[in-house]
Amino acid sequence: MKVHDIKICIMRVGGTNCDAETARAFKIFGVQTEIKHINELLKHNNLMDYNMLVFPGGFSFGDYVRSGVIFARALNAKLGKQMTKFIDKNRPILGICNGFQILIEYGLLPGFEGASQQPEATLTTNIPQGFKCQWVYLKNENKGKCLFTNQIPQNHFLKIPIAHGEGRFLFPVEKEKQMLEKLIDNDMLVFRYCNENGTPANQTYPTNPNGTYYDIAGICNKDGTIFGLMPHPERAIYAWQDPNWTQNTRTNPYGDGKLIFENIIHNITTKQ
Amino acid sequence: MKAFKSFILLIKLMKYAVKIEVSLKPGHSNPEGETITQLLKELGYQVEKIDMSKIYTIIIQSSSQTEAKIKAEEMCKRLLTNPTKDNYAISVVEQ
Repeated sequence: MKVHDIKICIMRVGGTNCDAETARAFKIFGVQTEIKHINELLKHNNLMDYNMLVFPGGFSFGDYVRSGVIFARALNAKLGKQMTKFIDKNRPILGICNGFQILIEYGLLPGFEGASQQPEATLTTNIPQGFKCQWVYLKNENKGKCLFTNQIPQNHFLKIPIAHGEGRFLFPVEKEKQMLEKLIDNDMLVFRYCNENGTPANQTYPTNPNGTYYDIAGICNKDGTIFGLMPHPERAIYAWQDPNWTQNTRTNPYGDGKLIFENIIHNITTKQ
Repeated sequence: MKAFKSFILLIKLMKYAVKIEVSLKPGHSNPEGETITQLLKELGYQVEKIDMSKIYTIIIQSSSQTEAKIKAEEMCKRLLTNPTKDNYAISVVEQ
């Protein structure tokens, strides 16, 4: 498939607020992006017209009940059959920030045995409590399964910003060690928060900005086709988006977030 | 047809108030409660700990109290709770 034939659907509802900048980030690659309200997709029954689906950041449905849960349930009720077909065809799905929360609440992530009826994990209130908006470093721990990072060398680290109040990833306390082992063994762990030298945060604040378990910032499903992360790669597309850009000696005009978009577009062009 | 109509009439729907209390499972951190505890201490109160919960009072029509409770269980599993971190308790009162 040629790059300009790729059609990407950025799905929104009331409260989504990162749809336009996510579309802007994809634009530099020459792909077609369309921002669609969930009801438009329901009306036209055309989710399968797209090669990739993105759930952007924001506060869908006001973050009521729990972040992302109302969008997830509405999606399941309205577009459940189309979603199943989309997933079964191994078409990639990306969830950024609130999008990651939606994928967790839908049961698509971690999705050890495929989509689960009830969420297998949660993204909950930050520790220390409060909304965190800062730049962080992410270490790529994935060995090559994730379609969004498999061109990025393992242990390479990226500088990308976060902006969230509920990004603390947790498994059920009584099963957290087994589930973490499963996550690592199945190569579903993608990003961990690390310091500027690439050493994992080991639960220390502010390198780990929200108290997340095992410094987890992003994971993928067992097929590597569905990927969710709390940081915002669409806000690190250009080098000048980094607040320290004037001090940077790098000559690359692009930021680290670009690598993720570039990676998935490369995979769509070669695999679809 | 007549028998069907009379059967329908026999199922009288009642109004119930279902109270669902969602709280954190033991062992989970409660940063919101800890922040409030700290502030109340600074305001001069000898507060040791705050446990927090969210209460939903749902008015529902149902054929019986048991059915109302079954529906409430479904609501908890499908939307109101995440089993990773939440516990819930349900009480039903006829209106």
